[in-house]
Amino acid sequence: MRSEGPGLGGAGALAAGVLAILGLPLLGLSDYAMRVATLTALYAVAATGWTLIGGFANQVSLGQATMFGIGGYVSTLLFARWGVTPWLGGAAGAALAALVAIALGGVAFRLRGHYFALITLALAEMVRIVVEYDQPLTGGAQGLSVPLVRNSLVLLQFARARDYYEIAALLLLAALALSRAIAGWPLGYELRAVYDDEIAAALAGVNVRRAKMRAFVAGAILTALAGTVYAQFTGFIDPDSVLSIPLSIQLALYAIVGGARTWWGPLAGAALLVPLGELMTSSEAGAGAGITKVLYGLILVAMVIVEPDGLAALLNRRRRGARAQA
Amino acid sequence: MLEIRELFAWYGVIEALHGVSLAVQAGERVAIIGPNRAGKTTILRAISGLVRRQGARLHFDGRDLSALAPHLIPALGIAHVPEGRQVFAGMSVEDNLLAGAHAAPWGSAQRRRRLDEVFALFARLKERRRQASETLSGGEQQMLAIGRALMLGPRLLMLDEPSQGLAPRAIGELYQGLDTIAAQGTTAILLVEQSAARALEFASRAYVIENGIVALEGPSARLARDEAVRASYLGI
Repeated sequence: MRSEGPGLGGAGALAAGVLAILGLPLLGLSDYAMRVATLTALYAVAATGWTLIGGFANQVSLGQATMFGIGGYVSTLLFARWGVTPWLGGAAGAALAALVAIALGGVAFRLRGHYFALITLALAEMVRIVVEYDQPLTGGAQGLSVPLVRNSLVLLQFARARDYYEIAALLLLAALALSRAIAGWPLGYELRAVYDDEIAAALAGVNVRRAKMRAFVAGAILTALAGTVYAQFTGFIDPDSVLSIPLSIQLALYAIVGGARTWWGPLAGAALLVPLGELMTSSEAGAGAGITKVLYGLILVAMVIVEPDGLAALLNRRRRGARAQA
Repeated sequence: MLEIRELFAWYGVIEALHGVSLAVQAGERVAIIGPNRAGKTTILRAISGLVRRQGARLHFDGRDLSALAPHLIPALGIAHVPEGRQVFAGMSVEDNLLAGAHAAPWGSAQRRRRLDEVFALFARLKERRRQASETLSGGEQQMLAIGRALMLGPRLLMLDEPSQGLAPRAIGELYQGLDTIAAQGTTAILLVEQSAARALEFASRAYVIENGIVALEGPSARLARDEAVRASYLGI
């Protein structure tokens, strides 16, 4: 029935995956390791948001960080200024991200080709500049600190990394479930048709603009939610960490390296690259920080040469090979 | 069934059709021939709403097409197989066909039946139903593109240069399939072809398009005898 449909194992493998994700803290990893795992999960969620439009429909967003930043800034501002719990703030951030996606898509999806990438890039820069200059409200380039309350589920703050991890893991599971469901829904067909050929898709009766819009909005919401949890987790956000172009590219990179046309590719990419990046940054007193970017670039180049469809395709190929031999 | 009067179409500011009138009756086989860049493809694209167009009349079964977005047109019963065999490369053969039935508000049983009908018409597609469509040969991809169009059970099937780039044997098979479709009498075929001889052989009526207008029209047999047509398009 499906070529790029859900895939990746049966119900057993899925259940094992869910347990592995939720049960990771039981391994008794260090607090630092759990922090890395939390970051990985959050970036995986954000990258999953990117992949719904960028991977499934090949409408490459170069401004996904905008959605991440909206999630982080809205919840943090509401919390810091009016004491609104980040649970509500996260919902407000997601709603704003959805509205921004609708407005942006309304313009960009009238045009075909690379305009979407350019418009998302332009918007991302505009938002970053506005946030940097509107210092009284946003803290400007100095960033915003999340008021410290410590250990309150209601205010989404914890003392231990593993508690943040569980929140991030639940969000990750929800994001993966949504992405997997979309791949199997009619919307999944529509996006794959758009990926291959927009005109042929329209001639097959696909409302191309609506399909793109739905994927973009769903992805914006996921990415914004990840941004909110990220802000709570790190306790501090600034334009560099949540609104920058390098972050946008990083998110796309996780999805592409993992396999942007599959629901689990973004997680695979993040699970490989985020810990690698952390390792490089923390070693040698941060001397590796610059090298990380070089390394990311090299990995991307290698991936594009070896298998442009990412780890997912590499794995599928191997499995198919194994089956052919059996 | 399809009625077009004084159709104009534009690519940006360039006017590509300058008042084309054309009609297709139910179950009819009609060909559009003419030189490269004369506007043959544009006529199909204008019917499907893929270019900016305006006509004194652009009706299908009495419904005005000019206000409809491209994705709403297939559901009316107009299937358009664009130039260059646009199959969805990333999907399997069967998924391509199911994607074709996308606009149909049918239950899965009807989709199944349609699928079986297409497989009966193009047995090769059935053999390769699970195969990725990008691994098909050119002729098979064209069959798939046509099969996908048929999944809607269209009353008008518009084909843009279906034999382009195919081996002679594949062209033979392709036209055999088209003959079968036309012989069922429920689907009219509007065929744009570079190869005028083949198009005139297939169709009962034809239009000769030159520079965005209808230069000549009539029964295929008569056009095939026409001196100008023979000299310009049949190379005789």
